[in-house]
Amino acid sequence: MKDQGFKIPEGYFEAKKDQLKALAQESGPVTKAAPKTRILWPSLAAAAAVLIAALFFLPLNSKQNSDLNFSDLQEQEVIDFLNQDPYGVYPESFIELPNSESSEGFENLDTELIESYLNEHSSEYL
Amino acid sequence: MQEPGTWKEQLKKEQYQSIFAELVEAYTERLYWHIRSILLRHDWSDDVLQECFIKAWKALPSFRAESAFYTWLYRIATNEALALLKKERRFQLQEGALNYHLSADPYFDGDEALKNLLEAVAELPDKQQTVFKLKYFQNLSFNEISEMLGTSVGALKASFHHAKEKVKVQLNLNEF
Repeated sequence: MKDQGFKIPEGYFEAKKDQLKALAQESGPVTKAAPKTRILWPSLAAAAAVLIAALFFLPLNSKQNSDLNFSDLQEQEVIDFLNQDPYGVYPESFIELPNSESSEGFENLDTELIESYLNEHSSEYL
Repeated sequence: MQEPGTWKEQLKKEQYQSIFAELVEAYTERLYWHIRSILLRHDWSDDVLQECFIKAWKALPSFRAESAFYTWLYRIATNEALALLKKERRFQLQEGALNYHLSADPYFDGDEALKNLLEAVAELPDKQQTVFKLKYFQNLSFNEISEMLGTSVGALKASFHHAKEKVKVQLNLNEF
């Protein structure tokens, strides 16, 4: 090809070879890059583990919360809890009831009424 | 004092540098003329040659000798040259652009016949053009071109045949 009119600058190849070798000298240490798949697989495995854990535990937790119901409590437990008055105030509706000032007043209340009230206001206590 | 790990890295680097220096010595000229036969212009060929060796240097640790080193290097060079050719082809398609490119290259002093031939070749589609140049300027076998371009020998023969016919028509030649 060089005899067909295609020329090169004088001393081109010698200079080019030196330049190319110098490029390798200047550049940082050559390290064998780890194949991408080796990095990818552990990441995928970790992501899958998190996903599986989330699928197992999150619905279980939400089920546990939704299954909480005051009907499961014994009547005496409810009365004891209310008598302790852990929040420092009685609900207004109880104040209006007869004997509401004494703890014995709760014993006269209908269990269903207590349960329905607590179910309605459960978010305040949980 | 250097840490033990640094010594190893330094040793590795020196080994790679030594291999790379051998490659540069062995292939620079051959690779340059290969690139030049595709691109024709010296300045473009110089850029692509450099880019090709930079890629080779970076890829050296992962080279697994599955193919001969020069085949691997030629493939990089061919791909780089074709990518540049594609980029520049838009301008070459304009009338007289190739003539302008060759006239602008101080390292081309081909005669009128060669200029006419190159103009005719520049009209060919990319693949036909490349096969024609590699056959005409480097006299490579279809097997060698097949390895470089990753195309079957049959397809290359067909491309070369079409290219030859088109060039003949373009130059009003009966024999080529």
